[in-house]
Amino acid sequence: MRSFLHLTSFQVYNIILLIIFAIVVNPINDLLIIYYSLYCVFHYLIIYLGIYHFRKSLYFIFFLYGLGLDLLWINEIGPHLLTFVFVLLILQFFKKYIINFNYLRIYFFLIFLQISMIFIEIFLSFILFSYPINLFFMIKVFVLSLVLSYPLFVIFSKIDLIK
Amino acid sequence: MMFKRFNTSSSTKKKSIPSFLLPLLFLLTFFLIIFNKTDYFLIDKVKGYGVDYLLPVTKIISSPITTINNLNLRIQNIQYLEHENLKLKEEIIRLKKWQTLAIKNSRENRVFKKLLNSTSHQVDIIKTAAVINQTPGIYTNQVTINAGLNYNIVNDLAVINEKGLVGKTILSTNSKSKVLLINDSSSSVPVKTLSDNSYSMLTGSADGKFLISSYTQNNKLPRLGDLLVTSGNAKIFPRDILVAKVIKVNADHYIALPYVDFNNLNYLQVVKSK
Repeated sequence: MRSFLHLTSFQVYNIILLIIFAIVVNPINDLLIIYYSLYCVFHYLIIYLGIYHFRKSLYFIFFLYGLGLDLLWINEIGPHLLTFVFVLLILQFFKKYIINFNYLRIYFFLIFLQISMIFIEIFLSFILFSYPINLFFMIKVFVLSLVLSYPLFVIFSKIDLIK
Repeated sequence: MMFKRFNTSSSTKKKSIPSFLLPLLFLLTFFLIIFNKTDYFLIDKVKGYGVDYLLPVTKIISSPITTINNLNLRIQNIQYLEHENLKLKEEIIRLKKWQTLAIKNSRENRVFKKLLNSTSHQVDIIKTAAVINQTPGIYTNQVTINAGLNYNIVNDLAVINEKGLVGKTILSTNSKSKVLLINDSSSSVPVKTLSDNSYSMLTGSADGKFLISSYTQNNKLPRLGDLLVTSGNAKIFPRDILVAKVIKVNADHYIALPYVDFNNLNYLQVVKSK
């Protein structure tokens, strides 16, 4: 399957990532649940790229998005940047094992990593900058991540067909 | 089936990664975090670049979503137009009565001030600016306004709107400023009650909906329904700006509801004491 603009799946993912990032850092208060969902999708996409489209440019992508989220969302540098870089490190070291997982294991691993990532960001923002831990937000993220996971992976698998 | 396909796609895209890149990235990350905690000059510059350059780019990219949302709001507004019109007509009649009373009171005030030879405590409006960005309130409650050093807006200036105290400026770039809202948990506002002038400090609650007292002078708690205004003690917030209303009094602290609706911030005024 070829895309309309002859883009590769990696390029399509990056365009989606950029659009989601732009929407997430410019929230409209009436549609907060959509922003929470997009925040979850953003993390799924980051992990997915790290596992299935690992390449040199990802170092800069992870770094820039981590820094961007920190600067525009919390006006401090740390939680997102540190988490993204650590996730990249974990994925680099364990990628060879991860890709040998069966489909169910990989599915749960992605969900686990995504939820852990967001929770670690929340804890880091609490440890580094004393921002309160919003339990209600954590529950929302947990539920949204579970609900969104399957349809998202179906969409990702369709995007992967683009050559 | 689809997950099995994932496995094959990865192996084809494997590329060699330079070994120096990862440590370099980690070093840069740690340096940024350490600088964020220790050095304000360099990090303020980085934050400034983020607000000045990154934010406009993301605004352009997300503009279709914003436009669709605005369009949706417009359609909703049109639907309620007739009902709103009737309400506004009633409101105008009510406000005209208040206006007459206010003019009368204002005249009386002027005469009394002259008789007492008193000076008014007023605020200097530095700039009225529009809100261009607001954080979703997950980590912190901040807004960005479209005025900065170009209008003499520096850090630690009070920000108000028509309803009361909104927050204070925490970062100023050439054309934009970040405002920390009073409902943020890291914010601290010295206030006094209107009824008995007892002093206390307010911080934002974890969910950003209320203000909680973190300190009360002589453990003197206000009464339910007391109005809280800025005390002017911190030198940042001018005196007597409306902040909140006490809605719950506990054994050692109280909870107040801010007057400002933080979900509907459009235009803000940056002010300082005269």
